[in-house]
Amino acid sequence: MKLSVPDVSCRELVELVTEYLEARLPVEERTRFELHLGYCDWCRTYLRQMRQVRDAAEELTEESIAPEAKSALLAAFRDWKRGSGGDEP
Amino acid sequence: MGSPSASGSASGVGGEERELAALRAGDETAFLALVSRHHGAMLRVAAMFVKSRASAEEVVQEAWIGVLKGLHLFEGRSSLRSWIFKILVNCAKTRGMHDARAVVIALDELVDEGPSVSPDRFRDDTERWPGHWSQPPEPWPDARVESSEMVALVRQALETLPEAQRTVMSLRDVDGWDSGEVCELLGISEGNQRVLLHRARSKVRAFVEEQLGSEGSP
Amino acid sequence: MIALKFLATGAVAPYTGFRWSPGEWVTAPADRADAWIHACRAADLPYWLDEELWRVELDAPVHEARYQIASPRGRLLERVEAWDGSVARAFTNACAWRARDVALPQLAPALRDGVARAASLDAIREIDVARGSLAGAYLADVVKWALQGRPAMTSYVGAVLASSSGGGLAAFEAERAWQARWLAEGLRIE
Repeated sequence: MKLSVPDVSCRELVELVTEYLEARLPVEERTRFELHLGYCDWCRTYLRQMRQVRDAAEELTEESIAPEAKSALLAAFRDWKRGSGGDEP
Repeated sequence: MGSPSASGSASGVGGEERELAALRAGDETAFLALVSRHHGAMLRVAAMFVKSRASAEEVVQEAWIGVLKGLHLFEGRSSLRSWIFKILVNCAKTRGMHDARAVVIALDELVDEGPSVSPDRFRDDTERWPGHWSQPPEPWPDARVESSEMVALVRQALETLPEAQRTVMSLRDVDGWDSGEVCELLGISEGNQRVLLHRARSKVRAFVEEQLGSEGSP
Repeated sequence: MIALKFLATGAVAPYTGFRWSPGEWVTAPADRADAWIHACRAADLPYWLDEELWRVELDAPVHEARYQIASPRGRLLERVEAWDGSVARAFTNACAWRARDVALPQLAPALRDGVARAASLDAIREIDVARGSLAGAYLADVVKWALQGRPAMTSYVGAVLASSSGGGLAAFEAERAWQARWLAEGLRIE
């Protein structure tokens, strides 16, 4: 049974949430999206959680380079310095 | 315009100019700092093209040699980071062909995976309120969201993702690349990039929800 | 242009978490319509209910859309103190009783008497109104949300109920218009 309402459903919203956060939703769809958030606390929670996931990812530190790899690169850098533009295999 | 690096102090155009100058002057500390800052992302991007972790590590090494060799030719028309990663991708593609791995950015990952939340969490179309939550998400306690546990869960979740989704979310959310940079690097469209990001974040959210929920009462 | 805006507690934008400072102009890029300052005309209020209601000033150009207006530049003026917990509760209850009136003729005949004579929302909840009609099921939902003190859910479901007997979106919007008139009177907004 199809509702005659101006907003999206929860099921539709969860598929649009990334576009919304990327500010890529066309204006009409964005309005329908926000009209839904107007009353649906559950979807507000879902949106908040997607933001929380994104924000937590920002806190991740990247994998560090292994000491041996670092030494090898340092050696390569020193070679390059010595023979700047030289033919290094 | 250079977007700020999420990891590391040299950010934006001014920072890159300093880095470049330091490199050209032979500053070893600056070189190692640059290497460290990009290492994780470079490994991950390389891994998309080659078969093994060892190959990916070798590709990263080769890329840096290539960077040093080409440094005198770098004109600054792109950002230093873009240029480094372009060299990386070229090395990776060459190695990938040698490894007989298809140089296709996981387009199979763009095949329809279905909805990002299980349909049984929503009321079906025969019911009143079709498409509304039947098992709505519970808010996560602030204390847990703001803890290192949350970061650890996200890290764990990222590791479970299919390759292209993990790479896109890592570059965008962990490393702070903007969508244009990611699309250019991986050779994919805006729309495809967004689909990959959406699936990645949705899966990570679901993983966190499951982990936070499975440890007894909130 | 003076308009109205609902915000979460602490003058915080409910979806973005943006913290407003009363009196301070906020500017969004002209080419980012999604970041513009959105506000309500009186008729729009029921769609955007939240904790705090503020009077806002929007700079020209103001873009008028179906359910809201927007401008790249705006500022909070003052809080509409009239929108408080007790008015929100009165509004919620008004929507619930109106839903009772709207649903009544569509309920299963055996239930109508009891629902018509109910003196409280609790009394309606005691009756199995959902039995035998869609309108009754919606009425049960409205009463549930009203008893939980949820103005936005109550009013939304009330509007859906109004649309469910064949009037579609037009009936939904007409019900929202009734809700907006109640708010305009109750809050003394012209």
